[in-house]
Amino acid sequence: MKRRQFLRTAGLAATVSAVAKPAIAQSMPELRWRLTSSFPKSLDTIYGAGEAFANAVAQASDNKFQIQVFAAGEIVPGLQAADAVQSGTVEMCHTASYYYFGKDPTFTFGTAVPFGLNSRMQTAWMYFGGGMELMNDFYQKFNIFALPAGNTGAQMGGWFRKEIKEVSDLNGLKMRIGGFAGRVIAKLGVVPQQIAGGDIYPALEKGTLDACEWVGPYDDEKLGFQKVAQFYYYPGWWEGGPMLHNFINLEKWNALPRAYKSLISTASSMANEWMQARYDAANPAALKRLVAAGAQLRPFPPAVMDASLRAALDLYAEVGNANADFKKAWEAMLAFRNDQYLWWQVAELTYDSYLVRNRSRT
Amino acid sequence: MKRREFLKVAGTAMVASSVAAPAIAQSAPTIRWRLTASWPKSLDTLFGACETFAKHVSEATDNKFQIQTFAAGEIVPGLQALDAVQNGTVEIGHTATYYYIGKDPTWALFCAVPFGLNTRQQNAWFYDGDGMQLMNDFCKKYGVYALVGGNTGAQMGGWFRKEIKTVDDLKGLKFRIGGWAGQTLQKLGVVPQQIAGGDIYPALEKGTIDAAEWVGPYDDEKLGFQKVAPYYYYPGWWEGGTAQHFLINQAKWDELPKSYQAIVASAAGLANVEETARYDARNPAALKRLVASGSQLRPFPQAVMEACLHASNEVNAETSASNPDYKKVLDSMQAFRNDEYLWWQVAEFSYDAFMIRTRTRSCLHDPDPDAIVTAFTGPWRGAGAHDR
Repeated sequence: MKRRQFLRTAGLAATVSAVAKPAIAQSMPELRWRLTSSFPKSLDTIYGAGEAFANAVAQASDNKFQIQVFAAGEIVPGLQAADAVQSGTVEMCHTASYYYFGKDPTFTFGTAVPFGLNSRMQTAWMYFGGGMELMNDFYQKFNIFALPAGNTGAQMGGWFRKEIKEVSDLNGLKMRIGGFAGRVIAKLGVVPQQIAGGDIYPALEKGTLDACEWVGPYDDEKLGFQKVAQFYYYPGWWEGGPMLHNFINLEKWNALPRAYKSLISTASSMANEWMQARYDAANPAALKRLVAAGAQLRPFPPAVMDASLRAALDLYAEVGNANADFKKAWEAMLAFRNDQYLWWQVAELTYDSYLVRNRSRT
Repeated sequence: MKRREFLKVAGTAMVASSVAAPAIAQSAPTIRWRLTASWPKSLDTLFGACETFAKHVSEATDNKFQIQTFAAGEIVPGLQALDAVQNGTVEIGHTATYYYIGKDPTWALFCAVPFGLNTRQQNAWFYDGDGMQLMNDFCKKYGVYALVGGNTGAQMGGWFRKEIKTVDDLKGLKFRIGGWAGQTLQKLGVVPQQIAGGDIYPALEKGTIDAAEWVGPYDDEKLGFQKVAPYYYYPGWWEGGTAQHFLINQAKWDELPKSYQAIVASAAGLANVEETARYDARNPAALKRLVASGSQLRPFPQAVMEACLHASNEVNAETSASNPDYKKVLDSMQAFRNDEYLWWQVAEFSYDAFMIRTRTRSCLHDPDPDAIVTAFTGPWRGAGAHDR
């Protein structure tokens, strides 16, 4: 929602409530919701964002509004969280929108598209760049209202059994890579594989899989990939700043009292910030441990990056020609991104660049 | 707060309230607070964080907890927000704590110090490192409780009437610069000036000062500096991710029901997210307009950056030697920073660097990409050179 509209709506609501203020019992009713997470409890950073959100809502409402959090699989499988919200099986879920690219690739823009926004830019786009408005217009078709609720930061490019030195090394490579990025990288000859987290390690070990991407150091470390695929590539160009969302059943959202809508909004934004902070704080030590355990860091060669960018742009053009929602979201995000990086190169990147090179000198 | 503590506190609150749930009238009392900001309303990104905060506290409590926001000067001057909270004149303030270095330079470490944390790192240190614990231990001496409530992102290095080509060009330079960075720049011969926002333009025009730093494109544009000091330097190495805080009178905080404390904490979190998002969303267009109206972007020369880092290290060593609080907080922040940048250079930095280099290659709808690239030739090359 744009700031101006946001304030206008808020002002209107304030006026209404002053005229016809509901009794306390109505404005803060006892309410119990179920939240299905797309993640297992072992991914404590992502799953934890759902818990932190629910705790904040409970505390702020004196426990009158209680949201019970369920791990993936407890109510529905992780990749069916949006369906459960749409059908009203649960009131809400904590998920990554790009899991649903099979329903419509436009879902991808809520979380991350290859060569999209970084973490801060994604938040800026959502809150003040028209992103939340645009995506919620789209989600309406699925009976869903979404709020940003977490970000991992730029992810890693994953674990490879052999080094990638040129574009042709990707040809025939069996890589576990999720979602829409698989369609981009398939253009370069990669054979994308959909494998659940727990099955990746044995597949890499046996060699039925050549590479896999997961998240970043903190989560990857738990799965031990460095023992069977030591080359750890960066950056994960398909996930520059993937954002998680709270998806809420639209009717349930509309039926909430104003105070509870406000609680859900603030608690979601807190989860958004908290999850990024948690990853940022946990990744450095994990990276050090991974390197000490034999992981070999490798940047993707420039030619691979360039070929991947070209493949992504080709795919966006193809999909956009057939899907007006996708085209609209891509154009909006692209314009925002290009302006963002115009500015980013000035103060942010030069600051980071200097500190990266000189960090150990103080 | 650390995650474990966060969950623990949350759990305790739940148990306590189910055992002895207070009546609604007690747990949701009618309360009115006054918030004094360190900003004028014209700095709508900073002041906007206060408004966002107050609006959500009010909404979440069905207007029972109302916080009235006042601009700098309406109750107390902007630089006295801490004092007003400490002595109970107001219940809460929104401020940049490096304004209070005269009381103790340790305050600067929670806001921004030269070569400190960037925005995300600052949040990670506060929320998930030791930052907030250290800050609130320190704040006890002043009878205030702190919550993070905003961040500007990396700032610009400011506006200069003449180019800075060597370290010697800094000697005798009269530079309007706020906060703790003045100590560092003094070592290089700069004469720091404390001048209020509205007085900077005439001083630059007359030449009574040679340079001025303010915030970044969105805020700087309003003051029109490019007309009198066209060289716009970057990065603002003294403000890599400047944090703002809500400071709350400790006794007033302690009096709040648990639910109101939770609402205030969540609303402060939202203010933090929204302030950075607003700056991030608005800075690019402002930068384009500034360049179109004659600003000339310049990176600080590497030799200048080196000399500043060296001087900053001296200031930190000297201050740490005589101030144990400063040393304790600095050591925590620097250890955190060094680890952060070890990781940052891998995924984040390499992603951003690639996106900057190839930005225009998917620039399908820019009306005149060539004009923009030309305008940014300096930083474009500068960024590339830093990277490789």
